[in-house]
Amino acid sequence: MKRKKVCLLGAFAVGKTSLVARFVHSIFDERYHTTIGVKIDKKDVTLRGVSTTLVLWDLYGEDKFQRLEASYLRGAHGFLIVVDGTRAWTLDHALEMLARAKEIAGDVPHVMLLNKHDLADGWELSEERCELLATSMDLVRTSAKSGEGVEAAFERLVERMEQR
Amino acid sequence: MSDALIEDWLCDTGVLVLARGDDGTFAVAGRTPEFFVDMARAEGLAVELAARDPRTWSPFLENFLVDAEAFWRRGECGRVLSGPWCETTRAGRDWELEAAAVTISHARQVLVIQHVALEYAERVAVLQKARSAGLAFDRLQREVQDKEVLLHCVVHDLKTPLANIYGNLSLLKSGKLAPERALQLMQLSLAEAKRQESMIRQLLQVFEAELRALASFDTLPGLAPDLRQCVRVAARAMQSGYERRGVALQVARGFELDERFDVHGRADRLERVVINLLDNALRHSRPGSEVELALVESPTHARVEVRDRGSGVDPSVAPALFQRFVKSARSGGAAGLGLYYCRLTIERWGGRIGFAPRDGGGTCFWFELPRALSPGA
Repeated sequence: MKRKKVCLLGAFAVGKTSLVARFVHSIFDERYHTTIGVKIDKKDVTLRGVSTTLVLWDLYGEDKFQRLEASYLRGAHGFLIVVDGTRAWTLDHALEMLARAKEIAGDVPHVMLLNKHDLADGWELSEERCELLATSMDLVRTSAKSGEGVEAAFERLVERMEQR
Repeated sequence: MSDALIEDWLCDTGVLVLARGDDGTFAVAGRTPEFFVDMARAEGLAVELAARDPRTWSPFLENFLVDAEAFWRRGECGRVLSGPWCETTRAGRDWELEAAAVTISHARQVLVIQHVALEYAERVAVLQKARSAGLAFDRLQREVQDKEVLLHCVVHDLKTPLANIYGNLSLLKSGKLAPERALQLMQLSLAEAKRQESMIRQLLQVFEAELRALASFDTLPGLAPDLRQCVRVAARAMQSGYERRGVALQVARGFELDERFDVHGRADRLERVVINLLDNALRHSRPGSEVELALVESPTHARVEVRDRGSGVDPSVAPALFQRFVKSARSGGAAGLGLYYCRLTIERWGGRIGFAPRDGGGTCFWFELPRALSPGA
């Protein structure tokens, strides 16, 4: 079976670990669990008859305590860029991380996840900005809590990696 | 210290030492620590095979060994650290690990892998604490900003009618106005005073609701209000306003029944919710049109619908309609708190609230509340 390395990138507490837990184990925990270093998970997926093992690199959220380790991105086949829709600054941070990641791993397929979509009350990202962003990259609104869009986001990335 | 003693100590402290051979494969030096035996088993590998090529079971080490090999090729002394990582086996077990590529005496190259569960948990706890504090600070900062905006809106909304009243009174004071014009200005001033009073009332309701939201649920069966009675009270309270505007208020027969229909909540606040929705419908209705008040019953819930034939919800405010201070050009001077109060109250009782456009024009605002079951039910 083919193996594809997928790195999850984004600021701290945007929900990367929760998205992986939802996708791989179908679980969600309300509490925030910070990630140290890297957390590696695997999941077999089959899309249009093609089976692939996704090796998911859930990288720690970058902040003043931890900076992105370039070597972790080596050999990545795809990126999932995670943004917390209730904290608008995480989008700018994600775009900046994506630019750096591309410098290291090249222009590999990527999908952006606008996470925490269940928290509509606290949503900070404007619709206009999302629409503008959607013209330049794949955007999926997700909720690790409800499961909304999670499978679709991973499938979208697999599809794009297969097209390469 | 003898080699055997060192090997025992390493093994007992959860350290796996893999000696690198000339062909680039590895072999366990000394005893194999228990964690590695368990890990290899979980991955369905023999210990020797797992040790021989760690790339087969660890994507992280596959990546790290690129840097390690470069380090060994350079022939430098010292070590290269991997940093911590967590490997989750197919069985769902997490292994917290840390590795180092080391060159020791006589140019021997070894890969050291340590199970660092305790240290990992401690580091997570420290970082988590720092980040949680950061998140709490962010939340607090946003709350302060929201409150500043709120204060600005309140001041602005209260100031506008006051400025109108002041202007009208100044004109009246001049004594040069025709009686009809003076009467007109007095009526306008009264209307503005009423608007201001209504805003203050709504503000007080919201603050009260927010405070109550911190208190216990209003779901005790003995306190459950009769939905039918509350709706009848609210409809009566709004009747004269509807008549003045020439809008017909049609109350469904379901509300006229004597049989109680208890729901979660409190009577006074439930009446206020219905009044707010009826007031909202009235403001958006043209004279001669009709507003319907309907009841949809189910064994577990009650759904109340307020259907108007107004201009519909402005699409620009639709996504945030139930937030506070949401206003559109069609708001008709309302403070933008009535629907916010309704949502806060209904959701607090475990219900839902929403709206939908109607065929033929207008909007249907609705809310659902769980039925309150009698203690014996």
